[in-house]
Amino acid sequence: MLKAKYIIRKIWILLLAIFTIMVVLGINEYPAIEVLVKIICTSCIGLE
Amino acid sequence: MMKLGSIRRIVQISVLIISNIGFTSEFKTGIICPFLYCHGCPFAFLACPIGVLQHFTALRQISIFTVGFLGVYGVVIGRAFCGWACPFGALQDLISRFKRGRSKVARYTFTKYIALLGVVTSAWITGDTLFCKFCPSGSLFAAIPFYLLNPTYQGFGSYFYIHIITLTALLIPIFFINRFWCRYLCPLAAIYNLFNKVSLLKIKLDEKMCNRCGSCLEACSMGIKNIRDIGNSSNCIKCGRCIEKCYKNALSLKWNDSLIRKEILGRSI
Repeated sequence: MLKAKYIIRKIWILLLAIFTIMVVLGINEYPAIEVLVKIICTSCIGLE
Repeated sequence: MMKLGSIRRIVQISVLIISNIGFTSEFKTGIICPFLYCHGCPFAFLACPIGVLQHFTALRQISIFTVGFLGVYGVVIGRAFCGWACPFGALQDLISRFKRGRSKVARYTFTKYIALLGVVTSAWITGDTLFCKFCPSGSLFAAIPFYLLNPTYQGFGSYFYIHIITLTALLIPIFFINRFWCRYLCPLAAIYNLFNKVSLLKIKLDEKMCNRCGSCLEACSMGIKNIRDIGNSSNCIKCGRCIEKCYKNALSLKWNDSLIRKEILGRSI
């Protein structure tokens, strides 16, 4: 029981570390996402 | 001292203004937005997380960058983004001001997980960002502003009218059920729901001070039914309406600082 509580207490820091690493590892996706924002997807908002 | 509700409204308006600073190409970035805000908006400077997830899924890829950002957002404040930042959530709050009585419907909230699954699978199958074509947030913050900025534009196609129809159709249940979109349909809420129990920002209940009057449950915009679930439910958006209503001051919005101090600084409080 105590061990389970200990794991739950620790899980947030583990998750935060994992997701921060994912952001760093995925940084090469940034230019592609930036292009997505800069070039407005006209078909998505119903423009022909 | 300023009321929590007033602070929240100031934050919501500020977030809406900041979300629209991308009026020139130089200000537009590839940073993932923590809430649903269409990057098809002419002034958006952040990328819509659901739009980017769909885009990469359509290309048969997983966006590690987006998943990472959503995870960090989820662990740090979780669904507080829905309660404090999301402009579409703010619109629903505004509509709920014209409504009297509490929305008692709080069942079937699992439907947002189905929506998330639908968003991902539809992008995978069709190879297109299908959800964006009728996303109500996209209707409100991208399609309509584009129309208002270019009223003489002739090329509005069928998806533009689908956007208008879905937004109108969604506004009807919002008049009857507070935060209808956030409760049942938002795919981003489904993601944040997974993190809500471990997130560092929490609404804490002081059981010694609580007299079980239930005024917090009456005020809850998400229709939470049990006092013990206030702050602990994965559906709690941490908006603080319960805190405002609690005249015994038994509820408070707090960082889980005991965890932060123990785990990072290595000492207990």
